[in-house]
Amino acid sequence: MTMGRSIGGLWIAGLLFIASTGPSFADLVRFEAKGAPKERLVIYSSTDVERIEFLIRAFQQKAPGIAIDYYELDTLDIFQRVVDETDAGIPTADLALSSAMDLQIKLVNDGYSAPYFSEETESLPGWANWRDEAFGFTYEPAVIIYNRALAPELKQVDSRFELAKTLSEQSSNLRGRVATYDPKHSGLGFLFGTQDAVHSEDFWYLARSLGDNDVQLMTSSASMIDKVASGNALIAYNVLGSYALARERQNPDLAITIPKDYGLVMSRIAIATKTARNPRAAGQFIDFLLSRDGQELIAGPASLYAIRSDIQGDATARKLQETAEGPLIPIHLGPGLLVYLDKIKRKDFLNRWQRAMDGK
Amino acid sequence: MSPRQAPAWSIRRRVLGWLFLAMALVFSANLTSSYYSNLDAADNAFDRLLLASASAIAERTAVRGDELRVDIPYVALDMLASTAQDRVFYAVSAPDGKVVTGYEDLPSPKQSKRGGAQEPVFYNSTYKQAPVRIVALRSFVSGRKLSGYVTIKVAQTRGDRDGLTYSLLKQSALWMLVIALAGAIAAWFAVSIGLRPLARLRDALGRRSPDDVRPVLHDVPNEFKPLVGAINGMLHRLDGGLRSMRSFISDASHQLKTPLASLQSQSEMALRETDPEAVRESLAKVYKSAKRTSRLAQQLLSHARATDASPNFADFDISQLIRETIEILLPQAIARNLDLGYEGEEQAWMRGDRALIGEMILNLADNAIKYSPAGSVVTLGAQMRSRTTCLMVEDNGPGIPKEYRTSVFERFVRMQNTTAEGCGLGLAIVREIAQRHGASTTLDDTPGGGLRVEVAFPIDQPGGA
Repeated sequence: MTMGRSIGGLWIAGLLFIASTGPSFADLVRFEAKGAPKERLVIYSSTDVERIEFLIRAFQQKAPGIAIDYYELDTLDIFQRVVDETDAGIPTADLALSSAMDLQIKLVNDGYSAPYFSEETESLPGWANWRDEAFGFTYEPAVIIYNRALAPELKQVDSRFELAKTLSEQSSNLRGRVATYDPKHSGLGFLFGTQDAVHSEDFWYLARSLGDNDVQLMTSSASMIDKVASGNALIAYNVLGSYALARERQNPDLAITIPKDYGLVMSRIAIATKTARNPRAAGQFIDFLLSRDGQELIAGPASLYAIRSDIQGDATARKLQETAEGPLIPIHLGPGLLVYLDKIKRKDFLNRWQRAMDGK
Repeated sequence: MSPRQAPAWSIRRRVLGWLFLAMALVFSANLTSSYYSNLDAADNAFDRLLLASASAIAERTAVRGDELRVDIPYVALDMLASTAQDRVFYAVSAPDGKVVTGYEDLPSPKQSKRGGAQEPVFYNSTYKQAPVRIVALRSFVSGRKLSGYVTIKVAQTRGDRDGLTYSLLKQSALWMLVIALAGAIAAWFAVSIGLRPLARLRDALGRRSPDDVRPVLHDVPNEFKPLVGAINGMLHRLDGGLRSMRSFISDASHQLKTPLASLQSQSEMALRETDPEAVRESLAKVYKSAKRTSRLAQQLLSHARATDASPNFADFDISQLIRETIEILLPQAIARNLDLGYEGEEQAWMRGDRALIGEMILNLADNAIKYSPAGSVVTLGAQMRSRTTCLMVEDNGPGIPKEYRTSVFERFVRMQNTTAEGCGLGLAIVREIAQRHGASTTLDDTPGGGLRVEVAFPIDQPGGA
């Protein structure tokens, strides 16, 4: 990993150390074709395979001739591999599914994706389809979770300002027992943090309060949920709602609050790569993800929150819109997302974050 | 109509054809120019947005300490989110030219402006395989250790601009199509309306009886006036022709009536005679009359031929023709004790219908022989002059007095107190043939008191028509 890259070098140099700190492994799961194998679809994805295998199996029911190679990768790895492999002219994934919306947008902006157009992509809301090349297929809120059994009074924490205020007042109670994403080491945490900085006046006040309370910085939603479930933390901020919802079903101690000032909503993004060897199958898979059947599964076993408004259930955009007390702000797909990938911008944000953590 | 014939000629089709050709030329020129002006308009509209984005970045670029700080505002890139969802690239370079942040290899303007120029430069280029529009903005920053112009480049793919250009272009193309269609319809009806007088003219001419040769007096558009004029001219000539034909027929029948009546009475007298000598005398008279009548009929025929037949023009030597005619007439001349001869050039070329000219010579010579007293001299000649070839016939007969020199050319006009047998057609035939050849005929006295006839045939100028 050097800085001598000709394309995207400046962008990526600052991000690389995230990847180098985490385990850069590639978990390959092969789903053999149901029928006589005719073609192979290669997917790079940041979604846990357990959450998505229902979808893959259902897809293969419909397309029995397609075998699927599912590489579970870190969001940055997905980006880096697609760029490296495309530039080197070697085979890359046909389809990239990632929760790092900014990185996916950068892939599209820099010309690594191919357009795809169908009835299903057509019916997506405008903010979830960029250039017919990037498609949002989930509608996952960033939520606050707290331990209902250990700290029932945290029910009143229903906004960022309220959280910051509570942290300032009851510092003895929550010190060391609050968790949030580490924006320095998590792509999604960085995305949530920067979006909060754009949308909320209270974000930096909240960041300072978190720093004052020795916030535990985590790199995944699952670990934050673990902390809160076990009582190691009482409350966690900016947890991925889809993961929280799945755990809440099993653990009644966990409670979910969607901030009432606004609920940030992220979308997992699917793009077909420009040099896909099997663009037809990639398109088929995108269509399936956006189809009624696919979205039912996303709302059901995957509990990733269906983006389609005609799907019923707990994990759906529709339910979320009905129950949320405040506005829901989906992160729009578009060039604005490139801003926080800027090297200097990123450095500035992280410096400011660090100062808040240090209580300066 | 044979199937190989060319497609029917249609004014309407031609008018439409030319109209469309002209329109196609004008429209393609118009489309080309409007393409560029639309492109310009689209660029102007979207360039402002691009500049706003670059300015937003410039505003947040500053020297802090010894470092150049660039805080790309979210709105700078978000404002470029367009309907066509164009891709966006940017780069910020320090005064020393080093790219501080953004896309390092974003193309620079062809001629980078040196010095303090702060005018933004807009240019087209290609980046990441897509045509892009770029603005380069120079902005002055100053700090304790670093001072100078930073360059901010913001680029956008051309989707929205091209979209606007083509939608404007489509609009103007649509209008042109409407105009073309309206033009075609207008031309269609204009041709119908314009040709309506022609249809009226056709109907009027169609209704006429065969002998109605009055000029056409219909009010017609200016464009048809020459045509109607030509038709009227033709009708006039036709009228003249018909008139002269009618008068000729009436003259001819009148002329034939007299000799036939005398033939009838002479043969009646002969039948009544008993004396063989008297019968013989009468028969001789009958023979003479019949011969004259036959001569008259022949003359009528040759006059008709001179009038009607379409002449067959060719170059020939008239002197040769004169000599041939002399040979034919020689027995007749010898019988009357006349000296018939040729006096002129060896060769005299002219252009004309040889048979008709032969007829003319025959008539002139015949007249000369007939009207000359025995023992006199009849001379035929030919002469080439600068512009004419002349035929001359001279005799030393009685001549024609000046007052008759015009009228003798009329049909059946004979001078009084002539004794010779003639029917009065000879000179009429000569005049007819001369007119056919554009030749002029002159009658003159000879020194000896006889008649000199001269027919001058024009010679075509070499290379002329």
